[in-house]
Amino acid sequence: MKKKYNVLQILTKVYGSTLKAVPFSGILGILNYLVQGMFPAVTALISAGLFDAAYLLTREGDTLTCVIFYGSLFVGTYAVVYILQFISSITINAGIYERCTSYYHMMLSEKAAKLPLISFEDTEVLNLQSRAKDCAEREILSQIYMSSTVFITSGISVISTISVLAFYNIWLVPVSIFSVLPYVVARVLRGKEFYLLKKAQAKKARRLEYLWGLFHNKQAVKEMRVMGFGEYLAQKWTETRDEVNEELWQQNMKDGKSMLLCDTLKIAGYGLSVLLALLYAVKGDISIGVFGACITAFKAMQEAAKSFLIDLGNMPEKTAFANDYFEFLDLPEDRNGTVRIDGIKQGVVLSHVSFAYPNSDGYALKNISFTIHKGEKIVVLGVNGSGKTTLSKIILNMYPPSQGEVRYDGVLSSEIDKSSLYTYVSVVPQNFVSYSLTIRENIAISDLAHLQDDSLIKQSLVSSGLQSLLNEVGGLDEQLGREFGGKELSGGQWQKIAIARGLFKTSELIILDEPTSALDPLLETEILQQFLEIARDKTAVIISHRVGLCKMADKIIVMKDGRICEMGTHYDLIRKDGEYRRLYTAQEQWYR
Amino acid sequence: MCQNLVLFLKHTGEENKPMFKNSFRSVSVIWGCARLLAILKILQSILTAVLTPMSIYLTQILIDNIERFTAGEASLSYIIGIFIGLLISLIFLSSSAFFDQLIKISLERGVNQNLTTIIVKKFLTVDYWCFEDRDIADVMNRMGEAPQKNILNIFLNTLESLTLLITIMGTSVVFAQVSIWFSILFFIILIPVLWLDFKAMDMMNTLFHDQSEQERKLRYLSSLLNAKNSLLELKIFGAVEYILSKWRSLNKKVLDERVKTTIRSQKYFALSTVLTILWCGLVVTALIWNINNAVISIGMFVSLIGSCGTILGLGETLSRTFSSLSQEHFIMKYYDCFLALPVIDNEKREADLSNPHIVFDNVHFTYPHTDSEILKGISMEFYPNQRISLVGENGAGKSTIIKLLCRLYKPDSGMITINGIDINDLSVEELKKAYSVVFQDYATYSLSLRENVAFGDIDQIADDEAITEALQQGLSSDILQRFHNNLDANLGKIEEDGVDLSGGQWQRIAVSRSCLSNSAFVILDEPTASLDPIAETEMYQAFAALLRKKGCIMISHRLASARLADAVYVLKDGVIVEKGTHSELMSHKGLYESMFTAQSGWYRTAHTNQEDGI
Repeated sequence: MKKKYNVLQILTKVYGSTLKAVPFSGILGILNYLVQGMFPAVTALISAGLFDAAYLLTREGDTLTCVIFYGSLFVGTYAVVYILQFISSITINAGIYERCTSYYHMMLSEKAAKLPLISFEDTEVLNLQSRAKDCAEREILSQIYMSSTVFITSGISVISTISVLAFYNIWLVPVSIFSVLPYVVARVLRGKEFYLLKKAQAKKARRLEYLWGLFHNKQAVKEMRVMGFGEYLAQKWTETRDEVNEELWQQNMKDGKSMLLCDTLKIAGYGLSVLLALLYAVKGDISIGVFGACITAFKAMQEAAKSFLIDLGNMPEKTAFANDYFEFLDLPEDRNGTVRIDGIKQGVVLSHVSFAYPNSDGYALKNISFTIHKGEKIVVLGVNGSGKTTLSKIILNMYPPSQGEVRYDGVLSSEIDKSSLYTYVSVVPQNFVSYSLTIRENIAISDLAHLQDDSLIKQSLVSSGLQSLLNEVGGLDEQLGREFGGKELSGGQWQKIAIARGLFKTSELIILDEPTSALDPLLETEILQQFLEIARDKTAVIISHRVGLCKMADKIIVMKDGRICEMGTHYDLIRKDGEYRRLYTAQEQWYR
Repeated sequence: MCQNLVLFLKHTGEENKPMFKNSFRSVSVIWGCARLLAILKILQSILTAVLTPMSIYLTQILIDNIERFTAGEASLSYIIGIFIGLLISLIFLSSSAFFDQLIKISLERGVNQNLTTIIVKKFLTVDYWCFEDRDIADVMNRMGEAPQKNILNIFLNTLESLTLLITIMGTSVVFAQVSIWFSILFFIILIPVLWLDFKAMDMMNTLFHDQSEQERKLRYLSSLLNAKNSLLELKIFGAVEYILSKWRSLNKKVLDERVKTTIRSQKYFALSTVLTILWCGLVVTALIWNINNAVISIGMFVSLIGSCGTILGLGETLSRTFSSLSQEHFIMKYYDCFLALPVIDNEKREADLSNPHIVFDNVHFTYPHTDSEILKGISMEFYPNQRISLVGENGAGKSTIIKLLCRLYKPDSGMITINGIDINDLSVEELKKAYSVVFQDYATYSLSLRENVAFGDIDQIADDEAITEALQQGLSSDILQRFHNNLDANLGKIEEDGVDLSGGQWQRIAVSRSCLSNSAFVILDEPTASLDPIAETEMYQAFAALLRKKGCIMISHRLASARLADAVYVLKDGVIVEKGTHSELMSHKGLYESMFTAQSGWYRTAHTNQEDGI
């Protein structure tokens, strides 16, 4: 897949957004790392001085002040580093990780809410979204910010340490390079992964995880117990597990071997440089103090080189993730028209509307034309998959028609200001949401101006047959949904809540999509009758499998394969003896 | 048993953390899984612990000898000898990354193989009620989240802490060369430093733990803003900004709390930092004083000062390891609790159930750990080949009856028998001959079409003909055709070539599953909820045909199904209030009649009007 941004652009963007979200911590974090980068060189310098002074003290016995001077410098450096660490642990953790990560999450959610709803039908957008979320979840952007800083710090470490050593003896430069070189060689040998183990095969691991999940998935466990196929699944799982394990093992062994090579090279380099320094010391080219300092300095340099190369190796993977994040933020947003309306006074007119989902060949709706007059009750019928729910989203101006046009009181759907349109529209969708919020919010979220209007909310609960539920949970501010420790409702109760929510909003047009599928007959009848009562002066579009409802409708629209195949009143269509009559009698015969 | 278990569970949260006990429990669990590797890991830990002070000591001798060599008192070969010794210890210490990895992946393999097998075996036999019990849900969830990794982690962390402790002790022995008091001082200061670090980290970890619910809430709110279904509602209701601001304020609360705790915990860190610097200063001062008085050699001076940083690093790692242990060790408790969950007993009787006569005798039932009785004395009798319809309002107890019939729960009192035998005495195989079931919340398996159907009777998994026939009986021929009669096509989203089906299609697959086993009864819980009228009618007709040969127990809100039944049982609040055929119940004019009238009302008026119209 082609990436939109290169590494440099990503880095610029990461720095830009980090410094925007947390300017203070961002700068402090960098400063801290820069200072820490100098630490090995400074320690080498000071400890060499300290050791030499101590050596002279044992030999000549007259330079105690010098030892004390270096000794206090030595302690002083540690003090500075510890205090820096102390400060940076606050700024880096709280600022660069915590605050930034929540900032990125926020950006993603805000963006998602601004996307046109149709984008969520596009698998490419969904994949991009899940990768972008992953990027925020795994704190990749903060990691890029920090490791690019460490990257520079490690460079400073190596260079400054080498210069300090060169100051004592120019020959220590090639020697110290021996201690770093093996890492470069190892990096070339092992490639990008360098010190990290390669990821095991993701596909099989996914299947393994899925099978494992079945063993404690309630629905599956129930069937396993009754039908007795648990052993079969266990065996299938064992086989997959052994396959995954075997592959992982092979991979790990291969990785391990090449890692052993890395380690050997690393130790050889270290041993060689210590040996050379030892020879210089023995010959008297460098002092004991410098030799002692060398041993620690070489180690510090190896560490610095290691983190330098690991960061270098991880950069492409991380920037690839970051690319997804920024690409998601670049997605085109929902366009909003500018024409405001103050009510739907005449109605909604669909003319020659066709609609195709993104990345699909066929049309889900074909040449749909009809008018929803103000005050009309329209029932939309049709078998599963005939395009009813898609039609409802077109009427709601959630999906733009591929061809044809939709007008609200004469205003074209693309030109209307959506927030002004939605002031007058309400909905009970087929896949309604069961909010794990308070019972108050569950109802009044459709009309937040009345969030605190207790009597209105209670009244709406009562008229949806939820009085007993309200008594049971105790109050409007009680939490619903098991997820956050509230009361878990049955499917039917959630459906009643969704209907109450849709009706709570004062609207002129309401769309109900399969509103009663989970209700028992008495409740279904009660709720539908109540609905018709409440909706008396509203325009309503009801999508339903319950053909019996149609006799109440001013207009029945029968859909088949994305087209309107029949339209009219119950009596018209019964007379016509077509699809409607077929649907009607199919259901009605049971009640004769 | 159950009561004890729940008490035990509730206890875990409050009890002061038996961290050491749990840590050693992890050692014994891993010991049981991969003994050899555990020994290797322990040996490696000990070796690492010994080598660190050793390398400090060797550095000291090396430098002393260089000094003596320059003064002409030592031979070069001796120096080289020491150097090689130092190098070997360093080689081992630095290559520990490799050995560590090697042992770790081997351990992981061993644990993956043995521990997970134990867990899966347990999952397969745990009594079903445990899956639905709220108190045990936590244990189930944690065991479902691949706990073998955590358990191994606890084991590794336990060893790591021991290694670090031994290393620090060994180092203090090296320091004892200066003076025994020096060693003692070393410990006296190090212990509060460790304790303070641990305390600070623990404070943060506790906060993260406490905030996990708020974190989940944040995630929930942002999920509302990221999904199609919720966005549609929120946009129309104009509530996007409401959810966003809710998210923002909760997020601010979480962050503020975290920053506050971070700063409070920094108190400990600050104190420990001051102590550390003091310690460092003390060591340097003492060493300078000693070398000035010629008590110690230059080698000792250099190596001890050089090791300052190492020891401080060790101390930091130790407190971090402790802290993560203190957060993780709970899983051991969950693991033990999981192993203690009750299991179904497997010794069952054989019996001939080809002509089952099913009897409910005064069955009472209350869900475990709840107060309200769901079934209050149910007595019913189903004869072979009978068609039974269970109707009633939402929550009347219909689905519970099915669960009892499937032995997912046991009645509190009363009995369910088939041909006079208590169903709890029968084997799964025998019971399958009596009835198969389609649950309301049937499962959808992201596996092959073949497996999806064959789970109804796994013995027939290779029998293409039987599976195809079951698909036909379950009205799923179109699905089979869609896959060009390839039974091995993958369904669902797990496999790359998997095809996801619609709700109605999955439902028909679930019905096909129940058709495969040639049981005398089929139990159907709301089989037509997501079907359109035509498909619904087809389903009834298909059942009528299929069920000519067998009996059927059907739960449905669509009362049309009750008309086909030989007997209708009407439930209300856990009691059977009416029983009879459709026409009997209609003339009885009770609950059934009012429900049927309510539903048919939508058609009846229209029907008469239609006749008027014609």
